[in-house]
Amino acid sequence: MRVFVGLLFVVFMSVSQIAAAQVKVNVYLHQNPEQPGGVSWQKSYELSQPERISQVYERILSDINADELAQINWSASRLSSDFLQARLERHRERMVEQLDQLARHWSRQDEQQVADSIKRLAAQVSRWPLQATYSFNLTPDQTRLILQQNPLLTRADGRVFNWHLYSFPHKALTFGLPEDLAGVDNDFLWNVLPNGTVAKQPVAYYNQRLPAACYPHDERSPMQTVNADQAQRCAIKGNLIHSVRLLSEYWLTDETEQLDLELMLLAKFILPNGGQS
Amino acid sequence: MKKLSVYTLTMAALGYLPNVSAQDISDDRIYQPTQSDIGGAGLMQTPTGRMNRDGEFSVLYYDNDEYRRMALSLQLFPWLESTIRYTDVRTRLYSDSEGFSGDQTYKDRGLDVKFRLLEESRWLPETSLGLRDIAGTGQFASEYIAASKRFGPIDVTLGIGWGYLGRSGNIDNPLCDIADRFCDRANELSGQGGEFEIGDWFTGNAGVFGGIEYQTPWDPLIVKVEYDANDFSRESSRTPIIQDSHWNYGLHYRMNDNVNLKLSYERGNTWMFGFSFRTNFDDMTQYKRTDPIPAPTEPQLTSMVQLDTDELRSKLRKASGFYLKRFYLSDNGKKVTLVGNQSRYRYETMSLDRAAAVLANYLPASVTQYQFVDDVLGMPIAQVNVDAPTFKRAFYRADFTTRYKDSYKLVNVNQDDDDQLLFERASELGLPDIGFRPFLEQSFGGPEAFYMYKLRMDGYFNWVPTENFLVNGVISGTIVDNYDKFNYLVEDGEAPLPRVRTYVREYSTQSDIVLTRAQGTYVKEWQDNLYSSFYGGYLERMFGGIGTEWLYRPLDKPWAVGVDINYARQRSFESHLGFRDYDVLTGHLTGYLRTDYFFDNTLLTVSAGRFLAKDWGVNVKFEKKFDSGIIVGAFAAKTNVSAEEFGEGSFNKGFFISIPFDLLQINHSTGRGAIGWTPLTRDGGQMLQRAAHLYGITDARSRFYNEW
Repeated sequence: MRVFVGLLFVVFMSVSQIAAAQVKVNVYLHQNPEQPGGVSWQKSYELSQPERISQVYERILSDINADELAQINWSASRLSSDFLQARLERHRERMVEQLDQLARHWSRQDEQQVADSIKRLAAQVSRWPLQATYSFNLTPDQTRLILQQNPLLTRADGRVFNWHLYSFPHKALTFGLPEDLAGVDNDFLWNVLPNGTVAKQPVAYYNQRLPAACYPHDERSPMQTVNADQAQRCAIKGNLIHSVRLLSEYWLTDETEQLDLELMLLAKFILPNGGQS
Repeated sequence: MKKLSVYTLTMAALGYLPNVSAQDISDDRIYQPTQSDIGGAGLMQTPTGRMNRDGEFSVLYYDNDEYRRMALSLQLFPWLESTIRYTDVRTRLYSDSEGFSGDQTYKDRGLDVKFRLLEESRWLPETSLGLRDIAGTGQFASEYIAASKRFGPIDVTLGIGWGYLGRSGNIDNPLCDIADRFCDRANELSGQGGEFEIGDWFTGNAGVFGGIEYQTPWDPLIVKVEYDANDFSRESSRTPIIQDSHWNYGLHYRMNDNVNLKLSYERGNTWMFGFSFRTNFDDMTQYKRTDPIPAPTEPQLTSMVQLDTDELRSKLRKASGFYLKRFYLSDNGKKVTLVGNQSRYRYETMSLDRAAAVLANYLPASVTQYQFVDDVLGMPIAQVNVDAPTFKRAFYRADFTTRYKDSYKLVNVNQDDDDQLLFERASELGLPDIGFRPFLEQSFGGPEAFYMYKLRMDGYFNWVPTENFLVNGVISGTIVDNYDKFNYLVEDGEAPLPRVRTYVREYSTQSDIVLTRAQGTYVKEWQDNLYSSFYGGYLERMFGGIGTEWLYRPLDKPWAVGVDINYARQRSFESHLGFRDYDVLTGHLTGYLRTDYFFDNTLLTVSAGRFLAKDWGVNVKFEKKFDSGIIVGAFAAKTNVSAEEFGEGSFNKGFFISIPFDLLQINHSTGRGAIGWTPLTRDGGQMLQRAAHLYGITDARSRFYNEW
C-alpha cells in the first residue's frame, strides 16, 4: 500500500501545477474530560513534502506510547487547517453580527424579551469553543485502505494542520438557549450526529414521532452553507455529539430565515464536551 | 420516449416497487397521514387537514354495497395533494342501452385537489382547503376546509364542508351571510362534465365534520372515529342508502411500509373494506450494478505519438459507456476533444467521472483539458470541458476539498482553429437495430368494459443510415385482447368535429398486424442554439405525413422556443399503408420554461396553434420531476371548440407518469417508459403524436429528462 501511495504521489507531483511546499502538522492529545481543551501530549511535524494522512498517522504511531495510543477514540478526532479554522471564525463573526442585528430589530418592535434572548445567544456563540474539522470520522485504517479517504496535506488547504485526538468518552451536552426563554424554539432541537450530520429533530407534544430533517456533513466542503430545501429525512438512533436549542422560526426575519441552519454550521464544530471548558 | 413493457406495467399496476422489502414499519411511517375511503389523506368519508410528504403516492381500493372506489393520490408539492378516482356505482348501469354498455355498471371519474393553508405548529393546526370531484360530473363534488391537530398519539380533525360533504346542512352556510349567491347550490350535476363549476363552489348546505385518528401502542394499528356531515338520501347510486348514524368507525392496519388494510363500520349499518399501496416518488431507489471509477495509475502514454485510438475507445466504452466518434488534438497537444455520446448512465457525471479517469490514466500529463462533445444524431448538442489538473487533484485526492465536479464546465460546442483529427469512426451503412418487446395497451372506464386491453408484440427498428438521419418504426401484432367488446360506432354525420381520434375502435379492431410507426427524421444544427428536424412517414397510428420542427434553445438557460408545422393525412383503419380522405395542416408555436424558481424540478410547455381537427387553441403541459427521476405530468388543451361540440369532458386533458428504466432494473439506463391516462378521448385539442421531438433530443443543453 505504501508503495502504491508513494507512486501516486510521484504521479501527482509530476502533473500538478502546485509545487511542493512545506506544511506543519500539530497533533494534540486530549485526555481529561473535565478539561477538553487541555492538552496532555502534543507533537509537531514539519513536512518538507506533502504527505497523506496515513503517513502522518505512521509518524504518530512511532511517537506516542502504546497505552495512550490504545485509548484514542480515532473516529472522534478532528483534523483541521489554519485556512479552515479562519473560515470558521469569519463565519462566527458574521453570525454574531446577524444575531445582533436581529436583536436590534426585535428591540425596535418592542419585543424586548425576545431581543434579550437573541443577545444571550449571540454572547454564547461568540464563546463557543469551536474546532473546525474536515472529517468527523477519520479512522486511520480507512485512510490506509481507501485513497479517497486519504488526502494529501498540502498548502492548497493550509500552512498549518491541527489534528486533535481524544481519549475520553463524550457526553452529549445541550447548548444554546434554555427552554423557558422568550423566542426559543421548543418544538425542534438541533442535533449533531457523530458523522457530522446536523439534524433538526421534532420534540414537541405534537410532532415528536415525526422524522428529523438532516443535513449531512460534506468533508470536501465542510463550511459550505446549505439550504433548508436540501434536507433529507432521517431517524435519530444512537449517539449524539451534542444538541443545540435555537430560535423559533417565527422570530426570524426574511433576511435571517436560514439563521438557525447557519448557526448549526458553527455548532457542529463545538469541541467534544466543549461546554465544560 | 420509449414505452414500458408489459412486465413493467404489470409491476407498477400491482404496486410493486423496488423498495418493497421491509416487513416492519419504519419509524417515520408511524404518524404518516392515512388515506380516506375516497382517496387522499383523510379519515373515512371525510378529509383531514393533513398533507403527506411530497412525492407520496398511494393507490387505493375501497368497497361497499353501493360504491367501489379506486383512487390514485399523489402529493405533488408539500402544499398540494392531487387525487384521481374512478367510482364504480354498483347499483346503476353504465347506460340505459344494453346494446351499448351491456351489464357494465356506471363509472364516475373524479379529480380532487387539496391545498395546505397552514402548517401545524404548537398552537395552530395543519389546515387545508380542498375541492373534491372538480371537472367531473359533479355527483360527488364538494369543497371543504379541514384542520388537524395532533396531541401525542391522537390526531383531531375538525372541518366544514359544502356540497356532498355538507349535505346534511348541520350548520348554516356561513358564507351565505356574506353574499346571497352562496345560499343555494345551483348545480348538482354538471352537463358535459369536465368543466370547473366555480360558481357552485362553497354554495348551498354546509356541514361540520370531524373525528380522530388514534395511533395505538401497537404501531401497525390506527383506530379512526368520524362524524360525517353527509346526507345520503340523494345519492348517485339512485338507491335508498339508509343512514342510521352520522358516526363512522374504522381500523387502519399497516401491513408493512407499503401495504395498508382498512376496515370500517359506517352509517351505523354498513361494513366496508379496502386496501392501499403506497410509495414515495422521491425515495424510490434501486440497487445498481455500478463499475467503480478506475483507480489512479501512472499515465500510460508519455507522448501523444504513442496514442492507440482503438485502445482508448475500448477503455472509454468499457469504463464510462462513452461511444467515441471523433477524437481531436489541439492547442499544441494540451487539449483533446472527444465527440460522441453515452447512453449508459442517467446521471451524466457518472459517465464523465469515469471517462475523465480513463483519460487521466492514459493520456500524457501534457494534456491539460479534456473536452467532451455530446453528439446526438450527428448534432453537437453541448460540450463539457474538464480541467485536467483540477480533475486529477480530486482523482488522486491531492487535497481535502477538490471534487470532480469542480473540474467540469458546460459550454457551447466550439471548435479550435488548430483541431487535428486523430480518429474518426468510419461511416458505414450499418444494419438497423431490430428487436421485439411485449407491450400492453390498456384503457379504463370505457362503456363496453371498464378495462380494455390489448397485449401485443412489437417489432421495432432503429436505423441510422447516415449521420443526422434516423429511421425508426414499430410493427405490432396482437397476441390477446378484449377489443371485440367494442361495439359502439359513431356515424360520421353525428360528429360535430372531424373524427381525428374517436375512430379508436375502428383502428383497434380492423387488423391484428399493424404498422404502428415508420418515420424518417433528418436533424440539423444550424448554429449554436438553433436546431431543426425534417420528418415524414407514418408518424403515428392514426396519421401519416411530413413536417418540420425548429427549436431555439440557448445553453444552460431555463427557456426554449420552437415551432413545428406538419401536413398530416389520416391513415386507413387497418393501419397498413393506406390513407383516408381527411388531411390537415397542423402545427404549433411552443414555449418551454423551466419553472424551478417557483416549483423545484418542473417544466412548463405551452403550445399554441392549429390542432388535428383544424381547431385553433392552446395546449398546456406541466411536468414535475421527483428525486427518483419519476416525472408526473398533466396536460390540457382548450381550443375554439365549444364544450357542447367537444362532447363529454368539455376539453382535452390527461395525465402521465414517466418512469426511468433504471428504477426497475439493476443496470443503469437512460431510457424512460410512460403510462398515460386520458379520461376521455375526443376529437378537439388533439396533437400529432410523432416521434423524435427536438426538445428531448437536445436535453443536454439544460438537462431535465436525464440528470446532470
